Order: sequence, then structure tokens, then C-alpha cells
Amino acid sequence: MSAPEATLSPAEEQQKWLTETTNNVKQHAYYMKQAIDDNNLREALKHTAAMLSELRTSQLSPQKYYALYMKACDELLHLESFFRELHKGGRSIAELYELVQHAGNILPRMYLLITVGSVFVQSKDAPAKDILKDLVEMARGVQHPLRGLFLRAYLAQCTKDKLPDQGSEYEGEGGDVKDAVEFLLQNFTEMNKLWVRMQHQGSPRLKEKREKERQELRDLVGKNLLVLSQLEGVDLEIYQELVLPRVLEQVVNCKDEIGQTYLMDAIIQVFPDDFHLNTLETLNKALGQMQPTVKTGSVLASLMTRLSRYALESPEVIPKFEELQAFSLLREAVKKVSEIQTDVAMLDLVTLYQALMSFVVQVHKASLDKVDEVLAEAATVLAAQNQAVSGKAVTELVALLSAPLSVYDVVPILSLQAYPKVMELLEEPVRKEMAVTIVRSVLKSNTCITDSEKVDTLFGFISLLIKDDGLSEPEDEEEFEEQQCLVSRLVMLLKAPQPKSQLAILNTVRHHFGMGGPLRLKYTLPPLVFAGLRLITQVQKGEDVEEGEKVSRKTIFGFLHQTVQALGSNGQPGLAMRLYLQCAAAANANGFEDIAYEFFTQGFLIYEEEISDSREQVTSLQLFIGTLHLCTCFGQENRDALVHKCTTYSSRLLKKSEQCRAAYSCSHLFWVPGSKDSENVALCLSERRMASTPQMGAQGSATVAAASLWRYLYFFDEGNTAVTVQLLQGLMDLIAEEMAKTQSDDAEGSNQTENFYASTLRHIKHKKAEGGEVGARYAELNV
Amino acid sequence: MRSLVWKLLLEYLPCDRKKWKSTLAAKRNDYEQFCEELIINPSKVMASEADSHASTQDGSLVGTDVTATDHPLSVQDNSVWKSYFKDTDLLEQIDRDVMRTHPDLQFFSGEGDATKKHQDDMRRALLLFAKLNPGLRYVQGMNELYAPLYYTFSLDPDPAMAEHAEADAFFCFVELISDLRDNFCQQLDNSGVGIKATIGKLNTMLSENDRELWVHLEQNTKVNPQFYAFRWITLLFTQEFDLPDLMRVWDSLLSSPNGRLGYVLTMCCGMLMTVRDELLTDTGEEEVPADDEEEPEEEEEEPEEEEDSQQEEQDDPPTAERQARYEEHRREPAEAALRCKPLKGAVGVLIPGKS
Amino acid sequence: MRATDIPPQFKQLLVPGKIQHILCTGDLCVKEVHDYLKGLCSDLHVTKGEFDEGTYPETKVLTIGAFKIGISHGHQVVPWGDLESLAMLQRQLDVDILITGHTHQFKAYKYEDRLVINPGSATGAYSAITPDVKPSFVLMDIDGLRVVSYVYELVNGEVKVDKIEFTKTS
Repeated sequence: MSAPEATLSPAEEQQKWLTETTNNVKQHAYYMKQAIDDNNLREALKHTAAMLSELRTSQLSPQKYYALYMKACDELLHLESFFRELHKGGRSIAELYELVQHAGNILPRMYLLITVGSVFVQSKDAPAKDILKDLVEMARGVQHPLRGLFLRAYLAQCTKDKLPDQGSEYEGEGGDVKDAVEFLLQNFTEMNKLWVRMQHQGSPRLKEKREKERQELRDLVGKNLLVLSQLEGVDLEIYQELVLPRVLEQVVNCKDEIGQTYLMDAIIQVFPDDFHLNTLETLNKALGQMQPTVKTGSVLASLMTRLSRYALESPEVIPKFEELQAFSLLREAVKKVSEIQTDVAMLDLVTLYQALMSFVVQVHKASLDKVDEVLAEAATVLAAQNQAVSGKAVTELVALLSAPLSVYDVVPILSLQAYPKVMELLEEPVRKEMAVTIVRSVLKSNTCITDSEKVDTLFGFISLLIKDDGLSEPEDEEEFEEQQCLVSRLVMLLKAPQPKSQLAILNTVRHHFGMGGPLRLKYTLPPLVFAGLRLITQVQKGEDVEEGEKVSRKTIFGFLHQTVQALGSNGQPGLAMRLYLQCAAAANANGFEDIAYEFFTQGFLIYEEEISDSREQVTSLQLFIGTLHLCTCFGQENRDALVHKCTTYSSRLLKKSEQCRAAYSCSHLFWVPGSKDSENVALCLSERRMASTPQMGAQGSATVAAASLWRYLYFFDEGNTAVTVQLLQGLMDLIAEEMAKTQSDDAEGSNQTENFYASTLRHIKHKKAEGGEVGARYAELNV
Repeated sequence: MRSLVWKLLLEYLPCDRKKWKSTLAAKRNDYEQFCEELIINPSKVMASEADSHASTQDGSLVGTDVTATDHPLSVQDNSVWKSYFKDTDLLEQIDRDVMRTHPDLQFFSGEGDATKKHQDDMRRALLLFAKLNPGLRYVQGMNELYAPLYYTFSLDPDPAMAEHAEADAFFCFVELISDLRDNFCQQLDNSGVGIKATIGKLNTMLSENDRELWVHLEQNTKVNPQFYAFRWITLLFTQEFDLPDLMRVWDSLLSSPNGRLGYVLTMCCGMLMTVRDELLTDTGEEEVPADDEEEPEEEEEEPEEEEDSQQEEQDDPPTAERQARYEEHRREPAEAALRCKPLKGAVGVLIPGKS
Repeated sequence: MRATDIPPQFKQLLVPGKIQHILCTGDLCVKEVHDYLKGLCSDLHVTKGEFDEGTYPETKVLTIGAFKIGISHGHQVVPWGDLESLAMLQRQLDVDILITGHTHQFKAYKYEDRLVINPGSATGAYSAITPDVKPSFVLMDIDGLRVVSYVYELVNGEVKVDKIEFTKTS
């Protein structure tokens, strides 16, 4: 080879050599094919041998050598079919087999021999087993690791469909599956030796490069295992008795880190799951004999992953898992890894336990204690590492914790004592996310948690979401809100069937929520109040209450009072006020006058002291009036006091129009069953209207007057004696007057009022037409 | 006149003048029946005659239990609502296309009750076609084929005829499309009768009539004829001419003695040959021009008014050339191409966007 | 805050693509419900409920086909749930159909020539006014001058559908 003109980089050099040798291969192949066309065997062999000699190069890296090898293999196909033709034409293959052995150099000779050998097996002129044995032995002649590996790869490739496997056409006289296995094992053994030997050749300086090259070649060795796993005749027995022991013997004895890591993994990947299940002990033993640097953890992890999937896909084998005590075997193995190997990376350990966890939840769904065992062990082992869980290990640990959530309902999870301990291993932000995952899975499962102890545990699990973190405002507002909404939705699911237990739950929840600080209370307490209100309804109905489960409603109202108060004193007065009214309505429905009164009083207190925004005053008053209108429990005195508050606050609203509207609403407070006070109703309506006129302008006053007309009509219908035909007639005249004044200014507004008034008039006509008592009363009204 | 002649040419009307009245009545009646049976309006089906009445207790309205019969969210197979919602995708697609049919014409596009009626008619006719032809359903571009018929018939001077334009155009459309049916059907693309075969015929025709141009297109520019002819053929030139010009082209198309497909191919061939000189100077290696530069600025010229001879179209407007050239370069998603999906191999068929 | 979510029986029925407008009287409270509704149909109209914070309007009026429809939560109308008072609001808003909530109980009234509907509460949340709340919602099919309201109610875990019809006198 001529010296390079300029200094080439190693990669360019490699490429150059590859191009050169490939061109040579092509050239020889050309002559070879020409000779084949001429049916000239001698010439064909000569050129083939020349072509194959190119494979003797030592210059190429494994990758480039592979390219060259592939090229040569392609060309050899022509020769193979030529041999086949010759055989068809009556030529003895045995004779050819002899003939090619005359090639001068061993490497070309072996390639030729394998090529003929493959046709020889096919011809069945001699038993397959003999030919295969011959080839695999003869190949020993090539001891250069790289060349030997490729040669044997060629051997494996050419013979893989010609083995005397069970059911194959070469079975019988050609041998049986044991011969096939023997052949492959032998080839595997030799290849492994060559492969391992590479490690020890050459300068120690190049160790890294060499290891990289070995990695590139590993699948050539693994190919034998793949072919073995594909043999029909290899059943569990043969695998257990013959294949696995022989393979493991090689793996263990080679004492080579790369070899052991790859081959153990290859075994796990290529052979079927039930083989693994039945040979767990053997595999475990072998794993124990690996070089200390071999990451047996990841091998074990992939073994467990496979077995879990196996259990998932074929649930019928699960009893067998139990029978073979797979769990304890694996658990022991996992423990051993963490004990023996001192410098196992955190990630590997977490992965290992994650795999064990998914195995357990998949295979031993029924035994929750096993899950807890795994958690406990993981917690101990991982904590003992004294290092933070970070990077990818976090993902694995979250997966470990999520595995039970995907299989069990929340209630059983809550009995896993070691669960929070494993959670503790996560840093706070991730732990918080985990807590969110737990909450979500509870909500998704939609199962109720029915006793306060479990509730306590659950809140222990998710305490990060619930406890005040001392921040005056959340880091991420939106995320915080989302989290708190999720937590608040939990309340609906914390539900005991019996009142006393339910109250116990509410108290527990209250206790936990109480630690949340002002930011959280706003979200968490209102649902708790509603849960209390529902409990009151439940107690009120009093259905099927068990002995000792009775609770007095007053106790619950006490709970509500205290809870709403907490909201009020923690920066949520508006919310508290509205909740007080909800409670007041409930107290009314239960006939507790004093309690209802107290709630109203608390509500009004907040109204007076805290509600200063005029819009909010308007809506708040509407709620007071609306709620009070519902309430029938009050005696005259209390009622008068509350009504008086409503009317007073109504008259103090900022805008006249608002005052009027509130007064109209108040008018209904004087017109409830049992207490119909015509005079006061009329007073409410008229007083306001009078007071209103000057400030509002014609437009506003027309609108207000139109609204009041409707109110008057309401009471007119009801037979309120203070609402007379004259009064209505006067009001209608007034509206008409005001409307006449407004037409010019606010067109849209006046239009609306006009429409409203027009439809009110239509309403009156309707009433007239209705006839009967009401119709008669309307008859006098002129429209 | 044209309205009547097209109906005759499309064999919607029989030759016997005496049978016209009864034929029309029968067909229009059929159409009405189809509409009634196939275009279900669940609102109409569900509504009873009377409003719900009030209960005596508190005057609130009393409902009728329809849990087991039918309601808009029903998941039962016989639910008219369910089948109605199944059609909504189709309706939306038709609607989208109808709304952009001839956006430059007040007749089809714009405000006003008349336009709205035209759109409703088209929508209904196309939906009906889709439902009657489950194999083909609705294919984008059908609106472009229905539109000229509907337009022509709507403008019939006889109001009694114009009134039924929707139904008349529907049957003529069915006839027209039956000629072209195989070209629409994607499953037949690679068969002996599909669009590829049709374009193959065009190719052969061109090689026989103008070998030089054919060789040039095949070897130098290597333009796949699908890029231009696909749309010409499937949309019957509706995208290449303004409506008035197009109607003139269709006069010839519908009356062609060689069969309509034969005429289409001859026309395509002619359109290519008309611009042969420019095509021949094109090496196929030019820069792709910016869209607006290549956009034909002016509208196509009227084709020469000659006899119904096949040569006529060879004096085709120069715009066609621009178009062809344009389409060689431009491959954009087929907006109005007569396909839901582009042909395999052809990267979408291209619209020059006339306006 | 009063209920976790819309019942799964409803969620099963409610799929995107069937509904063109969603009108909600308020007290959605949970953002997830809001997002869920938005996912069903992007044209979502919400008014302010008793417990809503934020910027929802007190009333809203929209026109769908031939109908003018008003929405309001209803706690502003005293006495709560009172038909005469709702009818007044309806005339003030000048709408053909008034939709209100607050009582968590389905009700529909024809008042003179107009329709008043309370669709109830889709979540079946607690109410101080109605002791046993049945989750319910209403779907309106508007066709010309006619509106057919389908009332979906959850009764003992099963969805019951009632139809209520109303024609507008033009």
C-alpha cells in the first residue's frame, strides 16, 4: 500500500482503506462472476479466494470491517448458488467440500468451506450434524479475534436455517435438536472467548478504544443466543438442563465486565418469560457470581420488568409465580445487590426498587403487605445512601410511588405505612407534585374515605399541600389555586355513612385545614362548611342512625359557626358573610330560631364592619333580604329586628336607584305567610319612589317607576288593600309623563324602559282577560 | 335557450317535446321526496304539534318523558339526532365550499336573501347527492360543477323553469358526474379507468399530436401532467375560466359528439398546444417566481367563438399557458381540488387563486 | 366548593360537537368545570353567581335564531325563584326566554307569552333552598319560532330526559 500523500485523520484513513479493499473485493468478485458464467470452477474458486483474502486485513476498525464483510458476503451468495447449480448438474458436493480445502490461506479456505458446507447440508448427502461439527471445529483455525468473530458470524448466518432442529427437514438422520444446540453453544463459546480476548490484547493505553470496539461487536456474539432461543426444540427442560448452565458457565467464567453485562442482559431479552420464571434461582446465583463492577441491578431490573409484563399479559400464570416464590427470590436478589455492591448509583437502586414495585403490584395485587414491605425496604436502603434523589432517579422514584396508585384504590394505599417514608426521600417540589398525584387519583377513583383515621393518614400524605408554608403569597398563583381547588374537592369524598363518624371526619379535616394559613383557608373551608350543612340535612332526616352515632344538630351548627368565623377573621369577610347566610337558612329549616338569629347577626356584623364597596353592598343586601324572606322560624320580635336592619341598610345604599330596588325587595319581607302587612309594603314602595325622583333624572326615574309598578301589581294581585286602583293609575300616568320627557337623551335606555313598560301593560291586559277574582279587580284599571 | 339545451344534452329532458311536462313534474317530485326522506331535520321530527302545558299545581310546565324515545344526546342507534350529528362533518365541509363558490359573483356570494337562497339550494343539493351516493359522498370541488348548472337554470327566462333550478340542476349534475365518476374515486386512481389512466390518455394524445412538445415536457421539464391536467379534468375547467366563458366551453363539452371525456382530453391537449412555444422555451429550471408575480393579472380571454369543432380550443387564451407554467412551479395544498386527499405522488394540486 | 364535579352519567352524554352555545347562570366556582364546559363548546356564556369571584356580568342577553335569551343567576331576584318576580326581570331584559338558577331545582314556566327556565344544578350541589337536589341540565333545540327544551335529570343514578315545547308568538 502506498504511503498517504498527506497526513489523513484516522477516520479518513479508515475510509480510504475501506474504499481500497472494497474495490479489490469488487474486482475479484467481477472475475469470479465471469468465471461462474463460464462455468469454470477452478477460476471461480481462485478469484473467490483472492476476494476473501481481502478480509485478512488488520487495518480496519470493526465498523469498517463489517462493511467489507457484508460486501464479501453478498458476493459469496453468487458462489453459493453456483455450487447449488453444480450439485444439480450431478457434481458431488463432498468432492467440492474436499476441493475447496486446497485454498492456500486459512481464512479464505474457511469461508469457502462454510459456503460449500451450507450447500452440503442442504444436499443431505451427509448428516447435517457431522458437517456442522466439522465446520465449527475447523473454524478454530482462525484465532485472530476480529477475523474469527466475523468468520463465525458467517458460519452462524449460513447455517441458521439448516440446523437439525425439531420439526426441521434436517432432523432425523441429520441429528436432533441437541446437536443443533451443541453446535450453537460451541460457536457461542468460541466467539465469546475471541471477544473477551480482545480486551487483553494491545496496549493498555488504548483500553477505552478497545472497549468501544468490543461493544460494537457484541451482537455478533449475541446472535448465537438469539438463534438458540429460536430453536423449536428448545423446551424448558433442554433450556434448564443444557442451554442455560452452559451459557452461564461461559458468562461467569469469562470474568469480563463488558461480556457479563451484555450477555446477562441478552439472556434476559432473548429467551421467553416462562423460562426465566422457572430458572430464577439459577439466574440469581449467576448474578451473585458476576464481577463486582457489573451492574447486576439493571439486569435484575429488566428481568423484573419482563416478568411483570408477563404477569400482566398472561394472568393465568400468576399462581405459578406464587408457587415458585418468585417474589421472595427477587426481593432477596434486590437486597443482595444493595448490600454487596458498595458503589451502586442511586439511580440504579431506585430503578431496581421501582422494578420490584411494579412486579409486586402486577403479580401480587392481593397482598398489600408485600407492597408495604417493598416500600419499607426501599425507604431504608435508599435513605442509607445518604444522598439526595435527583435527576432521573426522581422520575423512577415517582414511578415507584405511582405504581400502587394505578392499581389500588386510595383506601388500601392509606394503610401503607412506609409510603410517606419513601415520599420523604423526594425533594419538596417533587413531593408536592406527588401529593397532587395522590389527590388526583383519589378524586378519579371517586371512592369515599369513611373514617377519620384514614382521613388523618391521607392528610399526612399530602401535608405539603395543606400546611402553611409561611409564604405571604404563593410562588405560582395559578398552580397554587389549582392545587388548593383539588384539595377542596377532596372534602366531598370524605364521608362516613353515620353522623357521628362524619362529624369526626369534619373535625379532623378542620384540624388539618386549620394549619393552612389565610391563603389556603379561602379554598378549603367553604367546602367544609357545605359538608357540615349536608350533615345537618342528614341528621335532620334522621334515617337509619346507628346506636351511639347520634349527634346533636346544635353541635354541628357550633362547628359551622366556628369554621365560618375562622374564614372571616382570615381575610375573607365577604365569603364568611355569605356562608353565615347559608347557615342561617339551614338553621331556619331546622327550626333553630336562636341559631338562625345568631348567624344573621354575625352576617350583619361583617356587613357593617367590612363591606364598604357599594356594589358589594347591593348584592350582599339582596342575599340578606332573600335569605330572610325564606326564613319562617322567627318570632315577631326577632323578625322585626332583622327586617329593620334590612330596611335601614337599604336606605343607606349609595345610589337612589339602588335604594329603591332594595326597598322593593324589602317590601316582600312584610308580606310573608302569616304576616301580611299591607301598610308597610305600601310604605316601602311609595316612600322610596317619592324620595327618588329628583336626583335620578327623568330616565332613571321612569325606569324605577316602571319597576315599582310591577311590584305594585304583584301586591295588587295578592290582594294587598293598600295598593288601590287609584294608586296604580297615578303611577302609570307618572311613568307616561316621565317617559315623554326622556325620549331624546339616552335612546337605548329609554327604549328598554319603553319596552319594559309596554310589556307591563300587556301583562295588565292579560290579567284583565283572565277573568275570575283577579280579572275583576283589574277591570277597573284603564290602560 | 342554454338552460333548455343543456337539459336536453344531459338527457334530463327527453327528445319528445310532449313528454317534457310530465317528466319535469315527476323528477321534481322525486327530488322533493328525496329531500324529505334523506335530509332529516331532527327538530322537525321531535317537535309535536302543541306546546307543553302547565301543571295545575304551581303552573310549571309538564315535560314528556323522552328518555327511551329520542333526544339530542341519545346514544341509541336509531336516534335521528345521532345520525344528524354524524352528518354534521359532511355538512360543514359542504358549507365551507358553498360559501366560497365564485366569491366574485353576487349570485353566489354576498349578502341578501336571494344569495342566501342560492346557497341553501346548493347546500341541499350537494348534501342530497352525498347521501344518495354513499360510495362517493361529497368530494371537494363538486360545488364547482353544480354551480354552472344551477346558475344557468336559475336564470331561465321562464320563471316556472327558474323556480325549479335546484332540482333540475341536481339531476343534470348527477348525469354529468356519472361520466366522470371514475375520476373522482380515489380507490380507482391506479386502475384502468381512474384519473391516472385518464391523464395517461391525454399524454398519448399529446404525443400523437405534438411530438416535439410531448418530448420536451417528458424529458426536459419533467412536469408531471397531474399537476395541471388533474384539475382541468376533474373540475371541467371551472377553475380556468370566468363563469360566462366557462358556460361557452361547457356548451361544447356537453354537446361533444365524441363523448364528454373525449372532449375534455382534446381541450386539455389544445390548451397545451396553444402555448407550445412558450412551453418549449422553458427548460424547467427557472427560479420559482414569487406568487403574486406569476398570478395572472387579467382574466382569461374569451375563447374564439367558432363552430363546435375540436380545433377551436387550440386557439386557446394565452392565460392557459401562464396557468400551466404557473402550475408547474407552484405546488400548494389543493384548496378546491376535487379531492379530499392529493393523489399519491402528486404533491397536492394547485390553485392559482384567480382573484 | 359545593360539589366535586358534574356526574359521570352526564359527562358520558356530553360530547363536543353537539352543542353550539352553553349558557351558565353562575356558581361554577371550580375552574375545572369551566374548562370542561369550554371544551364541550367554545361559545360559553356565564353570569355571576352567589359565590363567584371575578368579572362575570350580573345579567347577559344574547340572541339565538329568533329568540332573545336572558341569563341571570337569580339570587338578585327576591323572593327567590318567584315566578312573578322572574317575569319582571324577563320584561326588564326584554327577552323571550329567561334562564336563571340559584334554587338548584329544575323548573320551566310559560308566563303569558314567554318562557322562564331554571335548569337546576348540573352538579347537584347543596342548596339552602331545595332540600334534595337532583343534578340536572337543559338542552334547547331552537328551530324557527319553536324551542324544544330537553331536561336531563339524574334520578337514582339514571339519566331521565323530558321534553318541553314552547312556541314564540311572533
